[in-house]
Amino acid sequence: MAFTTDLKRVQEITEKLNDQGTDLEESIALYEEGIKLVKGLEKQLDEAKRKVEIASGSIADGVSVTEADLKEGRS
Amino acid sequence: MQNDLFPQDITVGELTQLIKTTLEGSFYGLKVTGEISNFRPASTGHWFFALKDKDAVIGAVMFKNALWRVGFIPKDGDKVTVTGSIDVYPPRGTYQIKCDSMVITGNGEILALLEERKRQFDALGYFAAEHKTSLPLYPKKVGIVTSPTGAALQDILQILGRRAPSLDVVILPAIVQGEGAASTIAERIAEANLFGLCDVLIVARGGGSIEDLLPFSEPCVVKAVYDSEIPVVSGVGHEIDWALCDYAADLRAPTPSAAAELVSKGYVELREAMNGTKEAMDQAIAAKIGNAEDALGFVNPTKLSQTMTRSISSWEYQLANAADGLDHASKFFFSERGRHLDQIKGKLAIASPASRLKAETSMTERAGILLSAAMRTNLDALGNALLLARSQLSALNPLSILKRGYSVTTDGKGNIITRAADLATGENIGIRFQDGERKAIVEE
Repeated sequence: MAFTTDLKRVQEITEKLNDQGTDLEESIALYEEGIKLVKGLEKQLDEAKRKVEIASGSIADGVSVTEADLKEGRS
Repeated sequence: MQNDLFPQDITVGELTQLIKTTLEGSFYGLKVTGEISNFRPASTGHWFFALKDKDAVIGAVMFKNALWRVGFIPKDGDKVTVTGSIDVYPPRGTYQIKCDSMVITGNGEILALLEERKRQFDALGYFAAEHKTSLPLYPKKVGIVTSPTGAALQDILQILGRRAPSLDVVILPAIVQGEGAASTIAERIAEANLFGLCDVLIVARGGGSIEDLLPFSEPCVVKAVYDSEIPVVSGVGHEIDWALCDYAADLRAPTPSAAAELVSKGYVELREAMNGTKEAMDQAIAAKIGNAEDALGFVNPTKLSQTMTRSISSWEYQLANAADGLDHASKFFFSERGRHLDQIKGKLAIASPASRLKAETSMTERAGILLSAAMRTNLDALGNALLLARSQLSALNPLSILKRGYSVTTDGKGNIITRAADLATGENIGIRFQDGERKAIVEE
């Protein structure tokens, strides 16, 4: 799963940043990579617009799935 | 025919009073079961209705002061058992049951049926823990088997939208109570599996009476839930309600909202973990930068800048000299070339001196660029060397070693002794500590 791989990488980066042996230049490069991953994850989690569909039909006649025309009301 | 009880004419009022006394004196402490019909709560707070069965109907009243004992509002068709007594209302010449308490009946039978069914399914292994599969942590599409118009669906959509906005939803509309409900619910679950419509299923409906929830305990629904390859979360009724599909489901949620929360749990936890990690990362980089700033503080900026200025002016001087030298060289070159050109004037018309001139100029420029690049490299090296020297100096400082508890031993002449073999027994030695020296004699 890309989510968990990305999160693991950010955790790794944090560990490396906490390591005294990592020099400043490398740290900044790592931090930039980490921030990019976090932005990507946030985008996937928050910005993605979900699709709400409704299934109709029956097992015998086949089922079709269409975009639901529902007032979702309270958001 | 003469009746000895009523030897003379009596009035309607007297007769009704006699009936009232007779009936009310004989019919009390009653427990009557029947179906509610024509239920009409009055504006005064009392309930008026009728109780009926297939053979007869009787009026009933429940006064306001007795209502607190009834945990529900009955509706027409409910089968109830009431306790009370017969009451005669003379102005209308009617009699009715005056109710003291009321309970829904039939529940006992339904509950017994459900318990028996539950036992059977349990024995068949339908509720076995090893049959249950865990929900996907990050589902892509969740199927919802429920009424398309119910509040349960709205609750689920709202919670999913808030907690996992990227999660797609497919609604599988079903009838959730009454005739045909169980079969549509079962069919929707089967459809979701057959057509691979989603990777997790919520089977839900809002709260209701035990009869309303019955479809979710029907064998065909229990079987469909059990047979579902797609993990099923059941969220039927309120916390206190239950249905047999709860036991067959991979996960039981107390309410439809809770089902939506369970399905989106992975995303919420991921977001929390991500926020936590980001915070830790921010702190780590801030600490790193802080350390670097502290390290820079050791370098005296004024001194460094003076050194740099000196270096730069020295290089500038050399650059100027070099440029001047180049200038002279090229001037000489061109004058020589000029003379030569004069000599071969006309013969070498195509060998244009202009192009030569251009080439030489760019050579001069290139030399300048190379020189300033070399100068920059040198300055960088200088800065690095300075930092290195500083750190080496602090590492080599003997005082810092003495402070850690080491000491330096010298012989009578002040030479540092590094080996035990270098000292003879009885020899005078000096031992240097961080705060001063002491004299000693070698014992052995």
